[in-house]
Amino acid sequence: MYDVEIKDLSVYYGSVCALQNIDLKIKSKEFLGIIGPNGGGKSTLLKVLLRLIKPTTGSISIRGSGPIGYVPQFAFFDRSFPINVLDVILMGKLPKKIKWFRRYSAKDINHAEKIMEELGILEFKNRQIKQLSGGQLQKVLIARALITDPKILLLDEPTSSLDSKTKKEIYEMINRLRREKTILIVTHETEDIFPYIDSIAYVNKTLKYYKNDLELSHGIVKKMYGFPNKLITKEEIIHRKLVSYREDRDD
Amino acid sequence: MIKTLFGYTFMQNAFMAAILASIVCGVIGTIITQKRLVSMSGGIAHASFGGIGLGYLLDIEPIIGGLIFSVLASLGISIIKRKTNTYSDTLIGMFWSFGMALGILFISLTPGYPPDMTSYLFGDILTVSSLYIKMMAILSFIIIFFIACIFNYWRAYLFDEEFTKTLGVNTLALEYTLFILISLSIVILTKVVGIILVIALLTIPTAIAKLFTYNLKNMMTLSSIIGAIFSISGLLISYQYNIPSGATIILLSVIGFFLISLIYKKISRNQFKQ
Repeated sequence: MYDVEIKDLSVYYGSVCALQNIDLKIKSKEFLGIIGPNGGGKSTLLKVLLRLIKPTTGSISIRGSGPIGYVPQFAFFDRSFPINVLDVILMGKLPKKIKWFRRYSAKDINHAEKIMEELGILEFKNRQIKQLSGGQLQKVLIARALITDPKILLLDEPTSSLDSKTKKEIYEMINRLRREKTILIVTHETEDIFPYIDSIAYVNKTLKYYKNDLELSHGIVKKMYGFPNKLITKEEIIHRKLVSYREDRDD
Repeated sequence: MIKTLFGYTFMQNAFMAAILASIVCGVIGTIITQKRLVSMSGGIAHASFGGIGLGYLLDIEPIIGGLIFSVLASLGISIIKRKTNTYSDTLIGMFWSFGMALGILFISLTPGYPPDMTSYLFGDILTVSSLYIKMMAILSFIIIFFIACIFNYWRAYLFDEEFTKTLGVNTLALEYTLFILISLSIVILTKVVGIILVIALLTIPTAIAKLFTYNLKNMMTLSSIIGAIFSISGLLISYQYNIPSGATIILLSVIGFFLISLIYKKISRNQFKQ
């Protein structure tokens, strides 16, 4: 049973092609890493999944009725915005049809507190978001996605610009959710997520899907590189291209 | 002096107008600054000048024309931006000058003596009529009603529009409603402080309030109070020295802002030292 099925999907911005003929099937409870170079279409894929933009051609079907639990990049937020942690998390409780005079119920607040407690951020409940560290804000955003009780969780660069200890903490936190949820994670930090993920989607206009082979990952290749075999070749090619590009420019 | 002042109907009206304008500014100004819509509001304000000119030409109440133009301009900017991917800054600039140019053209075509446009550019709070006060009161009520009864949605939309959209909330409807509310507010304020000075009254009280609170609702309330203090004291000073009221209110607000933020910085630095 698949949670997400993308069939022959393309996205064009005017005449510019961002994604071309993409096929992707994501199983229920799968933990998928989405990687690829900047400008390769990762964020376009993310927006298509979130139904923020419509594909030019092709189809996408997502199982279940509720929204995908979206955890955006915390670095993009205006930290001086006058809002506290509880109110950020409660955003996830807004009904999609705008209801007049709706206030958050005691039940909503209890739910938020329960999630905050599980993620270890209950003590920040009334803090303004400016007074949080990057890692703490990231946890708040995860809590906000979790309160919508999503089947699928989608995280955009959850650990960029965090120190390695906080990074590990966030990954462990995400890893604990994998039994209940399908998890999609967009990241640059392939090495860090490798121990956790089931599969990888490499997006660079087209999409290539790799299984994270257990034998491989626990075998020699992982010890040496921290990547499965196929991935290395791909990454290496890009790396070489980049290096030669730079050399060309230096000339 | 105060007692004789309030004996005049025009002075009573002026005070009422100042208070209503401050409430509107506090609420809408907070939203505009948080959503980074300040230059957009400038564009809407100037586009309304075209409508005011048209009002004179067609012999209808100029403020109605201004209202129609500012609503059309705000929705126009939003729609064209979405359809064509033009930078909204560029569009705002175009609507800004287009509205002003139309206004001047319409007024030159108006038969008879040209109307005195400085009252729309710089505002004239002392000429506000009782009817206009009633109109302002109704419009203020509409604005506060729309903001208050779906406040949680506004906060979500202002803080993280994208996430709100992924929840399935119709953020486009929120955006259009917001633009219409901004247009309404600007038209209300035009009569009081004038097109050119609208932006100052929308941004300055909010900027000061932001120093003291981290709560969106309190920020709106505090901005309204600060705005009221500036407009009423500006009004009194302008009466006392017989100088233009709109300009006095704004000058007072700007000076107030710099003084308060200086003092605030000094105090918080001292606290930091300890």
